[in-house]
Amino acid sequence: MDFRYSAEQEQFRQQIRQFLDDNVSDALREEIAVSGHSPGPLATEFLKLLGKQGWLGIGWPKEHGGQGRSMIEQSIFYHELDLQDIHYGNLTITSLALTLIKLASEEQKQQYLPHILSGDLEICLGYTEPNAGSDLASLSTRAVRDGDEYVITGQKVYTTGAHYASHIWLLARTDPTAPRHKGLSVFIFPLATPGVTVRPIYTMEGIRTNEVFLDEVRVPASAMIGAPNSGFYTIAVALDFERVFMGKYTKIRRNFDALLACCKETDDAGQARYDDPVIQDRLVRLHIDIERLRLLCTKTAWMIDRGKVPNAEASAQKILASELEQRLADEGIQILGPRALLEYGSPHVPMQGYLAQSWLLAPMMKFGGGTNEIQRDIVAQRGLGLPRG
Amino acid sequence: MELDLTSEQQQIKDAVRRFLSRECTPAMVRKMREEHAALPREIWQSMAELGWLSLPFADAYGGAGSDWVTLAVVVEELGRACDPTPFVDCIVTCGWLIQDVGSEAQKQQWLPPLIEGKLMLSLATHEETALHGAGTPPTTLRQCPAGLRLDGRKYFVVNADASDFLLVSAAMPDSAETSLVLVSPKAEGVELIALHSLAHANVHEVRFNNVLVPQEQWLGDGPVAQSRLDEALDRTQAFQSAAAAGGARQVLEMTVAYAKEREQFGKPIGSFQAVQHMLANVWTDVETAWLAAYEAITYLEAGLPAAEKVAIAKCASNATFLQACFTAHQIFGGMGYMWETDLHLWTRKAKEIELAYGGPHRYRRRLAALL
Ligand SMILES: Cc1cc2nc3c(=O)[nH]c(=O)nc-3n(C[C@H](O)[C@H](O)[C@H](O)COP(=O)(O)OP(=O)(O)OC[C@H]3O[C@@H](n4cnc5c(N)ncnc54)[C@H](O)[C@@H]3O)c2cc1C
Repeated sequence: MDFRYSAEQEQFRQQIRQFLDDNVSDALREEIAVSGHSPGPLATEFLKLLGKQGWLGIGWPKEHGGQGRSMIEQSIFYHELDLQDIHYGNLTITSLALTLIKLASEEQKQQYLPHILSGDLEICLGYTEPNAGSDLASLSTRAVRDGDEYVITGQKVYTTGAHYASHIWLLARTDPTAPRHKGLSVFIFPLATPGVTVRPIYTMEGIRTNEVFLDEVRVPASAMIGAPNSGFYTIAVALDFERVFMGKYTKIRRNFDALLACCKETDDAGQARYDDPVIQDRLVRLHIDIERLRLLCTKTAWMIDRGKVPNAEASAQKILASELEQRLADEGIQILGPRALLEYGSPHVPMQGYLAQSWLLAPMMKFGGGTNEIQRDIVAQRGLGLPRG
Repeated sequence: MELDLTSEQQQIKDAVRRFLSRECTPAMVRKMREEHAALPREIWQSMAELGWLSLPFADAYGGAGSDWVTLAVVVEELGRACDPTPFVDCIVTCGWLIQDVGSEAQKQQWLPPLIEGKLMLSLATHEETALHGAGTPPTTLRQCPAGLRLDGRKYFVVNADASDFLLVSAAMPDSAETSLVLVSPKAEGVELIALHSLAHANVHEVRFNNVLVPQEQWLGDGPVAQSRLDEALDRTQAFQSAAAAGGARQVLEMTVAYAKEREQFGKPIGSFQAVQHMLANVWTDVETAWLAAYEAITYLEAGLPAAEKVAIAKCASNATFLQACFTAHQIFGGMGYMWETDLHLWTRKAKEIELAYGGPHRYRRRLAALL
């Protein structure tokens, strides 16, 4: 048993670090900090650079244009990106591409993967509907077969990225007579297809997401991923990858370290917040839990690497990370006081406004990607084999 | 990176589990605890014959010199079985300390019988006010013409009445270092006073009143750095974390089995979401506590800086074991609260090992200093 990275992996880390040191500018960091989920021109350019240099497909098989390295190495890469403050939430690469590699036809892999790698193809997720949130299988968007095509009609909501993505990955009902979970299929098609309308909605954190209306949208039958009516399985695989990615530890670690550094700064009277044993203990308790999250992330990366799909582990990781992020932001603001309410760009802002931003983002982390209640159901039922209610 | 056990490690784990489920049943644990009795020597003897007492010791003394993960899986399984044996105290702590600080002659003298199961040792380092490893212990050792004289009191000595020797820490006048001596609990001037803890453990206060200790029972033939003892206690804590993770996993499995079988409102209680979510939380805690324990152990084995890892493993595993028990009590309801049912054996154990060898506060204080 060995929890450490190999010498080769450490060397790989150095290589990435060098590349990022050479290519990440303060202007890029700043753009990412202010632009929320809509990448600005520098971020788009940076993404293309990553694709060109082969950094997007580190863990992908070589035949699909990847580097054929391990998932551990891929996770090292995202860790290093986070350390540079490039909190890069691109699910196309971290979840959908991996799902395509696992489930798509050879033709579809040829069609999509090279474009994903070059950074030209970005996909948004069309799962949620106004009346289908946690109970996704109740969704009502329909896809009806017509010759070589499907005709899709319905509405999606909270479709993040639909205003800049090129494609949508959409779950729709293809067999209204089958039991709920067994009549759904996944499609992927360009958002520019006639009949698609995207409208903005803004979140509490101030970033944009969307409503997507589908009015008799015609897509070729080849746009379907996996077998007809196997969509629920397809998105389960994609969601497991998504949760591993959402439950990232690095960003939380980085921000904890920044909070700790703030607490150690001395004021004019030579006193530091860290002198207070109450504050010490609160930070120690956070530190212990962040380390526990790190260990679980290590385990899920190792599992994916060994060809296992982390499932209860992925759900547990997402629960831990989202709850810890909220606790860190909430306690961090308490510890630093009113200054920590200040947002990015404000005079006197500590930690580049991260605590304020994270505090506003945290509620979403706990219900997005499948709510934490649903995740606990998954752990109990799939992990522990308890009967469904 | 490799998070699986090797097939040899897995085999030992299975063998220990089979042995314990036969020899150390909950009924036996219960009987020992109700009677404050020591482990039957035949069981200890069988463990010796199976080679488990030899794991951490070098070949030269009859040991197996095994890797630490192998030892950890044994300790984890003991924790699962609500460990009624003195294995952690006797082998992982005392025996290993002798190997660390004993002279060559002392190792030749003490380790072979220990490995053969003929010699049982108990650690006696805990003073009433001092925390383990912190500060100089007030128990004192003096030179005298016949050898050494020991005076003082130690508390929470496990299994003292059944052990052949106690490993006692003491201070010399004018020395900042610590002395470790082996003292027979039957020696003149040694008094054992049974303590009655909620853990039902067999623990004593031991008083030393001008006890004569032969010179050759002074480990290392003189005082040793306090850090040697601290290192040994850290190692013990890392292994004890594996025991706590094992105990927690056992309690979780018992609870899941009960939740699948017990019905109310016409369905298994395990189908209620409130029950499922409590168990999902425990599962998550157990996973991370287990990883933390093994990370600490493998770091110690590799000689890497591990003070922080040990502290995290200690805090995480003990909190997890307790939480697993509290959750189990909630889900078992009245059934788990009855004297004849077994759950409380683990609940008591969880609290006992939380405070053994230094409680979580000591380790959180360490983390505060390290951060
Ligand atoms: C900023 C943002 C971005 C998003 N991005 C996307 C995206 O790109 N694509 C996409 O498809 N979706 C997206 N979503 C939607 C997100 O996945 C859903 O919000 C989420 O799945 C929960 O659905 P809901 O909001 O309808 O809540 P509901 O399902 O109505 O849940 C409300 C509450 O009821 C609880 N609840 C529901 N069912 C149960 C049950 N069986 N047991 C116990 N409790 C239950 C929930 O846990 C929750 O606490 C996004 C949401 C937000 C806010």
